[in-house]
Amino acid sequence: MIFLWIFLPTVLIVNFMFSLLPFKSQRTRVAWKNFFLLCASFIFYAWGGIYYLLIMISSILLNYAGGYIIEKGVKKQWAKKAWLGITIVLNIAILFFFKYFNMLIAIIESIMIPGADFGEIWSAMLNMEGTGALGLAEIALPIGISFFTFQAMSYVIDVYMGKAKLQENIFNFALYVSLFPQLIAGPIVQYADIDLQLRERRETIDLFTSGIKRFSYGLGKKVLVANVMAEVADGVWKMHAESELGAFAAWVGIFAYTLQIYYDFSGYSDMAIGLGRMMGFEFKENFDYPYTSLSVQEFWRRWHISLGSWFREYIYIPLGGNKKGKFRTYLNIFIVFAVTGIWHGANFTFVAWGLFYAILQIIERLFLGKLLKKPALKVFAWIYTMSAVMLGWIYFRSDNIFQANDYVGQLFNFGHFNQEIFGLLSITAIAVFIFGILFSGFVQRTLKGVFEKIYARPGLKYPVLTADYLIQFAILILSIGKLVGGTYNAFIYFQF
Amino acid sequence: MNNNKPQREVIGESKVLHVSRGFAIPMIVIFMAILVIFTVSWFGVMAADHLFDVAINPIIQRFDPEAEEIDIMSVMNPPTSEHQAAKVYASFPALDTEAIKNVFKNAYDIAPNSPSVIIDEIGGVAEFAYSGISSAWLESPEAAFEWVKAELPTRIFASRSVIVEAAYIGFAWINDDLSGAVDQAFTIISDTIETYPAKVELWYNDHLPFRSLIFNTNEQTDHYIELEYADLQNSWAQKLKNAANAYNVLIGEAVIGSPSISGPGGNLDDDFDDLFGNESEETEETLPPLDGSEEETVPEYVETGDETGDGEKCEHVLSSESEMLQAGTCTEWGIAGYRCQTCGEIAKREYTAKVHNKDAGTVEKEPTCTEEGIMTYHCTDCGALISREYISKLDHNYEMTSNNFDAVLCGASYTTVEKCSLCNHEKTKTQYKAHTKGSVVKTVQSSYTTYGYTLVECTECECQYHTSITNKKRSGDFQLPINRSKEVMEGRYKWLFYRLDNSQAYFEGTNLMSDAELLEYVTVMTTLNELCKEKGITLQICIWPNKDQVYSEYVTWEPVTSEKRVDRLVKHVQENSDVKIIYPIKKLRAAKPYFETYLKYDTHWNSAGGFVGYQAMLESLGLETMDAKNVPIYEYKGGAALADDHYYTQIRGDLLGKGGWTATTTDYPNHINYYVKYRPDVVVESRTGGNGASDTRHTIASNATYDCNFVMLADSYRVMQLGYLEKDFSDCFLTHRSRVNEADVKEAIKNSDILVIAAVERYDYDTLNTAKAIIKILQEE
Repeated sequence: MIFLWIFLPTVLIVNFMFSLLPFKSQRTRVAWKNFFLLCASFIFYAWGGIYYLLIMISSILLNYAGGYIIEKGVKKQWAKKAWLGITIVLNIAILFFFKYFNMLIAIIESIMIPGADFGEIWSAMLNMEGTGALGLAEIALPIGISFFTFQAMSYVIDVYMGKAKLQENIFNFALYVSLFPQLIAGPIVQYADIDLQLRERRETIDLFTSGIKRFSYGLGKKVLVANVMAEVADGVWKMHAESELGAFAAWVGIFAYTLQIYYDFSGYSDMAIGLGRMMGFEFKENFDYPYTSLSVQEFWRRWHISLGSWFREYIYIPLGGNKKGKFRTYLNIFIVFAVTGIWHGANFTFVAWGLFYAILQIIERLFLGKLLKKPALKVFAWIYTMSAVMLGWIYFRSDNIFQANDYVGQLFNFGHFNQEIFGLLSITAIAVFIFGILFSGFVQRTLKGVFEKIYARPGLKYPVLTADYLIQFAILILSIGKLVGGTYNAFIYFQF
Repeated sequence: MNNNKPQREVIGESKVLHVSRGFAIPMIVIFMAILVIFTVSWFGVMAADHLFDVAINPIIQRFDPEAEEIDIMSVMNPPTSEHQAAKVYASFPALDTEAIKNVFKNAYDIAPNSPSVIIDEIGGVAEFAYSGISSAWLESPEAAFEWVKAELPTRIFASRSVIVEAAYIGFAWINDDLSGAVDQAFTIISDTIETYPAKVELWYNDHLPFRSLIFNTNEQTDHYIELEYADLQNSWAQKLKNAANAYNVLIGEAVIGSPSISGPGGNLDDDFDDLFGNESEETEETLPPLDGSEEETVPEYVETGDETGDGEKCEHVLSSESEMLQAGTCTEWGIAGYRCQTCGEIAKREYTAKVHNKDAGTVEKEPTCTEEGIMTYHCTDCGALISREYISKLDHNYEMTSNNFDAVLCGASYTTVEKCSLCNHEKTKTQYKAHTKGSVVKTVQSSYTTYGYTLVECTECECQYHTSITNKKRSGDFQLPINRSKEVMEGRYKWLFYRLDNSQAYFEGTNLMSDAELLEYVTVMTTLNELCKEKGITLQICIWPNKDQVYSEYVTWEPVTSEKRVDRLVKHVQENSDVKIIYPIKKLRAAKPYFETYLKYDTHWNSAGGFVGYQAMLESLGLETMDAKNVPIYEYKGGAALADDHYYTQIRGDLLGKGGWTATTTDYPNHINYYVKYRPDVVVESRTGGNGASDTRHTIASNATYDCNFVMLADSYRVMQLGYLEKDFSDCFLTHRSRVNEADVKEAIKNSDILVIAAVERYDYDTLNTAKAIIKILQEE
């Protein structure tokens, strides 16, 4: 709330003021702006606790030093490699400590259960409950740690690989890691993509107006669709924990969650991209209508693109990509998706979710992909893809594997009907369902050509654009209004 | 650099369009304006709120101290029914608002203008009320009412905290049976006080667009009743007060009168008074009239005729006021007359009372503090007795003669005796001795199966006690694999219950004993009791409740009859004989906020439940007891071998095995047992026999609390009591009742001072069989 009403307008206005002040050169102007945005970003992050800010600052110092040593400190190739290794290990150690330590403890505790056989230990591990035998307190997860650690690592690797120049100004580097629009929920910006923008960038009117558009639509996606769906999905999962769900409720729940996670995450990315544009940054797209995909491979090219390309750049390709024969390709896919899964959270559900996609991708590479490409099988391909995706979301959402397995069972429990579901399906929710499905890419992709033609004709462009912006402002006001009155406001991706 | 990234279609949305300044600048201005307007209005609201706080509210309250404070949000959002509901959630910070909101929304959607539901914070009732409304309401309001009426009394016990539902009252209201509903609600309330002697809060809620009576055992403070709204004169409240007194629960003064809101049906407060009235206002005891104080009756004045003048006919119109014609004296009547308004003559005469001069009075009888005195008044002129009046009793002059405040532990009751120095009348008062809050030992968050609490050290008695008890978490549990078994009933929240041994019938109340069976039971037990008395043995029968009876909130069976077999049996024996028999279900339920009393995946109680049962037994035997709350109790989570003072704690999970689950209970951290450090100073000198369900165990502890031979024939439930028994009785002989005819058992029975026969509810008939066997043994001599 304070973010939207005070922080954001202040930052935008002050940032704009810098453009009016007389500076010696455009570069000094950008440097000052960078410093200002860095302060703003630190304030933003420190809002959640000064302790978290310290973690982020140590990550910044670590990677800045790493980059510096690799570029300037050592000359020999093996030494550069060694320093890269050290930096990466330290980065992963930080991430591991804050994100995966609790999971490790739970696993060790499960193994320590006296007298349990392997099966019992296994099921205790999957439960992720721990026994408390080690008596260690849980470590709180700093918001966005997975995002900024990955960004910072990308800098060191880019410097090592020669893709980017050394950033000598530590403030600029700190800004890259901490830039508030994308700090806590992505997109994950690779250093090479933004290097130049940190030195020279210009806010333009074109960028600003399109930023407004992205921001408004993003906020609308989050508040008007994702939050409504979240209430339904949370309700269903709660019902599932407490009573027998039955097929109908289970399907409602999984549809709601499928919509929720897309609108939530892509809305957040839109807002980040929009805010970035308002301040002169151009981030890459993070989503490309993933629910219109016709294969799992395509889905992963359209879903969370920045994460996918990060893993491709820094894991898949260094491992050899698809250049080292079929077996290695499949193994690499397996590794990348196992890591993708565990990146999303310290739980076996996420591992299962990642491996599930790895297996599907390998199957598609083996034979299924060719079938799916046949135009006649388009509808089948879409149903197959979405079934896989939705099945995946069940594991993604559930607290542990057993819960997820049981939920999948409930999808086919046609004998039972749980009346409580009516309590969740308000008129608003149903309307949002329909709207959400249509606008998850189908309408946009159909109308894409139409809009391109419209914008090409000056006589039509401005009337249509004006109408478009009026809709945006309506969405903006509606969303803010809903935020004021509403209660549900947690970004799903904050936890990663 | 990025040449190996696949080229994909560019989406129209993501493209930065070139726009003209004439278009862009207005758009940017509008966007910033929207943000700034919200910013400014936010500050505006904050400022206005501050203004209300510092300026407007003080002024309003100066003129009307009763007035409710105005806050800015209520001004900005005029109350709608939904908003008022939100206010209700707000007044229960511990509630699971999400759950309530959903239930409320549903109930409200279905019956928007009808009396509706506000829901309890703990499991059962919420679901019940909701399903009650959704299923029953759709059929008919009458059906709904019947359903709720039938279900509420049983469900209400399923939950520690109780809300006498708006639904209940509401449906009754529709049926013009509000007072009937309230009466029934009261029965539930007094039963609840009995079951949960914790803080009880009663209030009549008029914030809602419908009526509700909310009755809540409040977890925040122990042992305190607060009556909000209802004043203590109210007959209904008075009943509650009596019930509370009977259970040593303090009553606070009526504190809050909620601001009254006129509902659609008139002022709800008035309705409340109309319905429940202030009937029982105490009337002064009337004393018999004293003789000598009666007034002489004034005779009728007889008109002589000549006073009315010369016979001229005048239709007299009498004036309303009389005038004194002749004053009365000690001996003569006075005369008063009424004039006619037309002719001015005195048209009517009356005698008035004789007039005496009343003296200062003389004391005929001195008052004491038990009896009224009498004062007599005479005429100073003629000496005649005018009146005799009572002199009110003197106040008692109480002096404290005995006070065991210092002797009792905190958390217990202390008794004061006051004696009147004048009449020797004794007044005995029993009051609750509160703990003195010291440092916090630990704070435990609630889990899905346990209540959260803060363990606080009492600086007065150096014990530890529980405060700030918070509800169990509502949703979620780790998953037990879905599995169905003939032996195991899977209850709510994955609680497992035993199906066999007719357990369901015990729960439903469908296996009540016949009159002949009851008679046999009483006869056998009386015979044994007499026999024991002859031999100097104290006999005690214990029937320990089935798990499902204590944790009925997790049970999916439904009671069929209003009675239950063992409950009825125990009451019958208690009424028809002097045999000591107990069935401590209420105590086991009451202890649930402090610890689980039964194991989640096992048929048995845990060592805390065993302790509560044990205390009930001691109480029945007339021995010293300890409040379970004050016992140092520790959660036991299994794992490493236990030190010697950990007292036979086991994490069992027999129902998991019976149900066909392969995992052991160590996988299930919500399965909770405890160990109790019971009388650590007592040293057990010798132990023979194991501590298994069928072992015979014999212990000697010469410095145990009681120097006597204690013999108990029981079942596996005793395993969780071994650690207490061996420390309280110097010679303690415990065995399974199936071993009754073994030689050493026979010998022990014959030499016993206290003989206990115990069985879990579902084996109640075994107490009878064992009693028969013991009769034979005792008669052998």
